[in-house]
Amino acid sequence: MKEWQILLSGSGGQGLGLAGKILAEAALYRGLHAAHSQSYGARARGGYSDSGVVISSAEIAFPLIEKPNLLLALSPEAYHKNARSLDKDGYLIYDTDIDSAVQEKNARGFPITKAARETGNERGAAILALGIITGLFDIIAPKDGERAIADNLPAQFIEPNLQCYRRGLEMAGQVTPGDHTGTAP
Amino acid sequence: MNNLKEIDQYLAHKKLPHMWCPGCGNGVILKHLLLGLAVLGIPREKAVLASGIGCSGRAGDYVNFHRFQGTHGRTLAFATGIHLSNPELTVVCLMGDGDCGAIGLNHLLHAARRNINITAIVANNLNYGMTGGQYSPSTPEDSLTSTSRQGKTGAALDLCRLAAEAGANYVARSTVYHVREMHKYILEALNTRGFSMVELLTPCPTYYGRYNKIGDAVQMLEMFKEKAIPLNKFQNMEESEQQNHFWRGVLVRKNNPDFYTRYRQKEAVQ
Amino acid sequence: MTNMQFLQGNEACTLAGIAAGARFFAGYPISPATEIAELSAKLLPRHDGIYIQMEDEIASIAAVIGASLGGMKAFTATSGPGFSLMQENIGFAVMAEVPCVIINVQRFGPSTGIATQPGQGDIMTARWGTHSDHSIVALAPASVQECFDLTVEAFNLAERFRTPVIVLTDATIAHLRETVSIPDTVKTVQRARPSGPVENYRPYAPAANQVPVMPNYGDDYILRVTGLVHDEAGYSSADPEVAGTLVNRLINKIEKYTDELPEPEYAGPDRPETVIISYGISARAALSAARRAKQQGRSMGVIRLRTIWPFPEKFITDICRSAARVLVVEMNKGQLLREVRAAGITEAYGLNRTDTRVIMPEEILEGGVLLE
Repeated sequence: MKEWQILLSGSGGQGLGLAGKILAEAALYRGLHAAHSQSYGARARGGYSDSGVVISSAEIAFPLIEKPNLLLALSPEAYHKNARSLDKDGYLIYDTDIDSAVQEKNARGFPITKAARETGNERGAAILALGIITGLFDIIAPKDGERAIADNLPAQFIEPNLQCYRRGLEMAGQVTPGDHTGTAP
Repeated sequence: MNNLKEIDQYLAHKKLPHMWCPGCGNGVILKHLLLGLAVLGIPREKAVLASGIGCSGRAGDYVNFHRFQGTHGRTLAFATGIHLSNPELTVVCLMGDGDCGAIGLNHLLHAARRNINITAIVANNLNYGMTGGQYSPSTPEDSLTSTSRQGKTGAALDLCRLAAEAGANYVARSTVYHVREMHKYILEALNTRGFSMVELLTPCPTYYGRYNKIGDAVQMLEMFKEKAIPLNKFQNMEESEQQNHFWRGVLVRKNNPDFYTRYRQKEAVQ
Repeated sequence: MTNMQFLQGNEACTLAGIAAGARFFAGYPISPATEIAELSAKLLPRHDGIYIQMEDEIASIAAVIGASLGGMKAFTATSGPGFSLMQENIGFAVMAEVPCVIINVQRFGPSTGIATQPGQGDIMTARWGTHSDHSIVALAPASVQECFDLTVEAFNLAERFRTPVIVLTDATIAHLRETVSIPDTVKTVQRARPSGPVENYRPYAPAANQVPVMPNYGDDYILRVTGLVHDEAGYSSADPEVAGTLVNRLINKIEKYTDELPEPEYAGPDRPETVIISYGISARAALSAARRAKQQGRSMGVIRLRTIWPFPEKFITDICRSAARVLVVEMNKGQLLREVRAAGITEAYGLNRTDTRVIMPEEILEGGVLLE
């Protein structure tokens, strides 16, 4: 495994910081090294927000995202801000609601926010995206993702977020294998 | 009350005589503070005298018990830490009017608001003596000082009323002329649990008295005798008349629980 | 036994303080240091400790100093604007020899700057922010693990040397989450206590290691503390001999014992052609760059400072002596570079950033190439 540099981006309130922490902790359960960083400031006020996770089988020298090889974009701003920095062989997962002409070669759109809303938990969009990422890429195991969700949320929020996560896993399962799946480029 | 023997145990005899000017009231204030400790039987090792920077701040050099002298204006903030780290100590802060009322005013308000179990003694000599007689917040309007040769602009600040409003349990004011009253107030303050403050008007014949042509120390004491009037009398005066007088008396006497007691109660609930 | 936790730098600093024996925190809310206050407020009462939120940073460090004199290990945490406000009282703690720890989570400045963005611009503030001649100890963690380890070390050094110790983190490390190994117990140092007859005790009479032994307020040994020049008994003095002796001792008690401070870490070949000197988050980029340089067959070594002050001059000059190129990487305009040059490495260059962005490994690789 090479190093994953995963940038989760979108808007404040979508739970990107928490999703990043959950992703990193699920990687730790698998015995990998992980570092998690997140943007501060407008995060709670609805502006642009992101969260970076570096995951590696080796010790991590530099813990921040240099050039993401997996980018999640949940808002138009997040897409426009970050798409150019994506590694040339990197993957892009975006919310089809962002309504942009996405041109990146390894890009795949999902109705992430809409699907989260349908589960009754729109604020679980980033967790749902985490389910998609878990399903598409060999980064974390689904059981570790679920365990990290349970570890990080107050009791009453665990079930709604597990629902989002599992919905994401299902959506990833509908993708033709080999299309947008893989290990770190 | 005048028995110096009682305060022997608290004095650093080797350091005397003190450096204060002839006629200064700081020695009288220190004596009655030490008498207060003696009357209450507070052992040397359980008392801390925290003083400020300025004339009164030098008091720490003349005592032989735990002494603290921090930076200008911050005495109450340092003392807050001293008290909270060992609530068994009797912590007395001795500050000047510039120290406590200008640079340190914020700390006075918040120490009073928290109702920290500390006694603050403010030696108000109506100016900055150590630096040569500049006006302070408590200098009366129109007074002459080395930085107000045409008379001070702006009214004097009443520190006691601020401390009372902020939440102190005990606030009183007197002068070094009214020795018995001063002695009583210091004792009452030391006996208060929570924030207590005694402001004491004290003569600075070297600067304030000289600049304002009041005369020597005796004449300054006579000024306090004449112009420092009981609180109830003062409160019945017209504002214009009040400006020419100082009040003395007990402004607040309460028994609200102090910060440390309330903090420990709250945390015990968790 | 150790316990692995996935923590932010600010959390690790707080847990370290408590593990090192801190029982008092006084602070004032400021980004990006607030989590240290919040976690201290939550945890300290469980250890019979005290959290108090003061009216400003001046009062915060004052209360910390007071609590230390009362016998509690004490700390505060702040960032640039608050660190500036604390300077007068940090100098007081130097003069009065009061152990305490100040965690300065560096943010982008000057002035209010950008409250949530990192910087490394307080290197010289830590050294010379308070007036007049003195020595100071400042440590700089480069990982969340080191936020824990070096904060513990900071408390130990504060007690050992009776002096304020500054921990210089930054907004990035403060909010970065990494795995931290937290031991059940850590090695702690307690301040040396007086013994012998109470009457003969002099609070500022130095022991053999030049540090006076210290009672608490409330002990039978009487403690006289002042920021005025003072004699060994703790009484103020204006004697030139007393003043000169005191200032020399305050400096020598630290500068003559620098072998007790955390050494820099060197990673790289024995005789590197290029040496990168860095600290904090920038050093992480340097280490990553050196790894890639090695893959490219280039000879690059990294000196990562853990103690910033006193500046580890000998360690650095020993390694740099044979190097063809020395690059000092830091998120300021070359504050440590001046120190490297002053140490005789006059050909050292700076790789600097002052635009809130963290320096990236590729920039350092390119910087190294440009020098080649």
